[in-house]
Amino acid sequence: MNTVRLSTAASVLMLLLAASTSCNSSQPTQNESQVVSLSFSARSTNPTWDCWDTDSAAQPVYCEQIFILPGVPERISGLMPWALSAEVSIIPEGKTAEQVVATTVGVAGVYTSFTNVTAPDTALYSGRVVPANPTAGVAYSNPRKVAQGSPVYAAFTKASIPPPNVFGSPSTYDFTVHKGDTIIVRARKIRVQDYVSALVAPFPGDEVLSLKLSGSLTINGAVANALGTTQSLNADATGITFSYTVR
Amino acid sequence: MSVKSWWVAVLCGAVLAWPAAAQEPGAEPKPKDTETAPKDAPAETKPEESKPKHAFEEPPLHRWGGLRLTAYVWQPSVGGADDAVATRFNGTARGLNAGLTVSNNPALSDGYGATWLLPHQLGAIDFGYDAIKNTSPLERLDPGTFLYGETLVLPDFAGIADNGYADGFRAQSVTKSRRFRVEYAHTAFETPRARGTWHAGLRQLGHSKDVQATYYALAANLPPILPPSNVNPDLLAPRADFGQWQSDFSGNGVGAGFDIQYHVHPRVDVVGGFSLGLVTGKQKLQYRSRTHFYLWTNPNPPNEQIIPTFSELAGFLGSVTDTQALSQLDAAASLIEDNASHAAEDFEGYFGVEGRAWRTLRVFLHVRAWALVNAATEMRPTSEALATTTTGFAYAVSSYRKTEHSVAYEGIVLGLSYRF
Repeated sequence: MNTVRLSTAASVLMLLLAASTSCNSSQPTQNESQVVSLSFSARSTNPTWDCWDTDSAAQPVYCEQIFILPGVPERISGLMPWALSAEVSIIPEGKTAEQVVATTVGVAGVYTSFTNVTAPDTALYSGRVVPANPTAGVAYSNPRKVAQGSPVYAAFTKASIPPPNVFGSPSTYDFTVHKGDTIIVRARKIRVQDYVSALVAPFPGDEVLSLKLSGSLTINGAVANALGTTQSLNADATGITFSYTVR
Repeated sequence: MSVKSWWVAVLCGAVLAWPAAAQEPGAEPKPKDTETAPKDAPAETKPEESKPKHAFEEPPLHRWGGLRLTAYVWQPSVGGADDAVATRFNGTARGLNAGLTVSNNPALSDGYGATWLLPHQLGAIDFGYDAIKNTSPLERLDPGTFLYGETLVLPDFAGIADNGYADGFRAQSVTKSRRFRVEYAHTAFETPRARGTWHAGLRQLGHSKDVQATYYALAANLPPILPPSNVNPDLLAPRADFGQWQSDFSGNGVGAGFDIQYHVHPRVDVVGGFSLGLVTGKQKLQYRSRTHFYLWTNPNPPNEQIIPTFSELAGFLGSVTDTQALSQLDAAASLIEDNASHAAEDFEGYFGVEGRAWRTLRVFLHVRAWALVNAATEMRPTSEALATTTTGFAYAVSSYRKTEHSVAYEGIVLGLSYRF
């Protein structure tokens, strides 16, 4: 009888001890996926041009610069296609080391390591119907005003503008993160001396001096308010670094 | 101790008492007082010739006495040992700063004892060993938000902006205590219902603390080191700051105490007691700090060097040529006080129930508190200057202060003892 009571007491005691040490109310952490979209743009204060299509095979597009006063060109803020180096890293929640998600460093291209390119200015404005200095015998049609970052102007100067590219995508680079992850974006403009001659020569210096590189993040479609610098200085080869922790 | 732990204690006590209470009071023979000793150091008080009349009575001692072996476990909460490792600035709107401390989590610990029960009511010699190791972490990682003050490092170059703030840290506090006791115990008084036992002897005490923290600049958002710069970005990536203090004390001393045992049932006692000790010994204290700063060296003679401010650093990193002229250096400090004499106090108290489960097998459940007063010392520099050495830069410390730390353990002890 005593043995039975002893074993019963021991069993109850062990159950109590197990209950006191095993009740853990901590819950597993949420790990929901979020879709991040990254985009870059470059903007500067650009001269404007009136442009026309022509029937000339040698000069299919013709443009004339717009001046608001004699010797004072009209300028508007517009996009500018510009090459940049870039890198995206993630610090997973609870970690302290960055993991590179995407990078252009070392990637071969027309400009090695500068394979990302911002979009050109595709805006079209109403322009003069006929050129001020037309070439005799050439027919002009489709008049419009463009900024200097426009592919229309590039066609006039016969410059080759690389297509927009954000890590292989034409507009945004999309990737997935989890709640608690921190995204770090770094990007840097290519130097003027390395780029301009091949792009829109002759490139007036003012546009370069006002060129600002910007980056933006959206999380599941909503604009993320990132920490850090999302817009670069005007200075040559400057860049941006910003971060965002997904909540 | 938490409310939950108290309930567990009460329930466990009830479980211990239940099988005894379930018996017919008259069926149990009047208890034979067979031991005289503290809670875990019982000694025989009745002559060896007494015969067990019941399966739950303890057999008599041998001619040489008896040997009681004791083992117990407990998971004590640690009080008074929270270690400050950082602050958190809650913003200018609120103007509040919070201190962040590593709270020591309860750790499962064990203890052992051996008691030689001397024959002829000569008392008992008790050997006891206690060891507790508690490792507790604290982590806050908030990349890009620099609001964690770097409490453990020297302030001059703490934080990426040299303003003492990090955007994350990982800290750890390790507290270790161990005690070995050799004591003589003897009955002080005895009545049919109660017995008091005094004990006194030598004790060896060791106590150590190791508090350290690594402070990060996880997302400093400095200008990117990307092409066209050809500088290795790893060389200029903000390195983590590190601070640590350690205290190791070991000493010998004397102690004494008193235990009381009250028989509430032939096989169940309510017990309690206390013990005091004073230990003197040697202490080793260490402090380390490692912060970092950037240095810009003008590539043109006379190659002037400047330590840039944060805004200057951002400007340098924005320039391809200036980035090449930047380097990142350590500002390290260490301070050691070795072999210093030190004294600590050792207080202990307990109460609970003990039950005789079978022959000489006892089960006990105690609520126990054990405090080590002034057993650890935190040493921190109070005045220092950055000095140039042949290998770089280091702090020359000109003064320091010491702060005493105590620790108290409190918890429920569950143990077994068996007498041979």
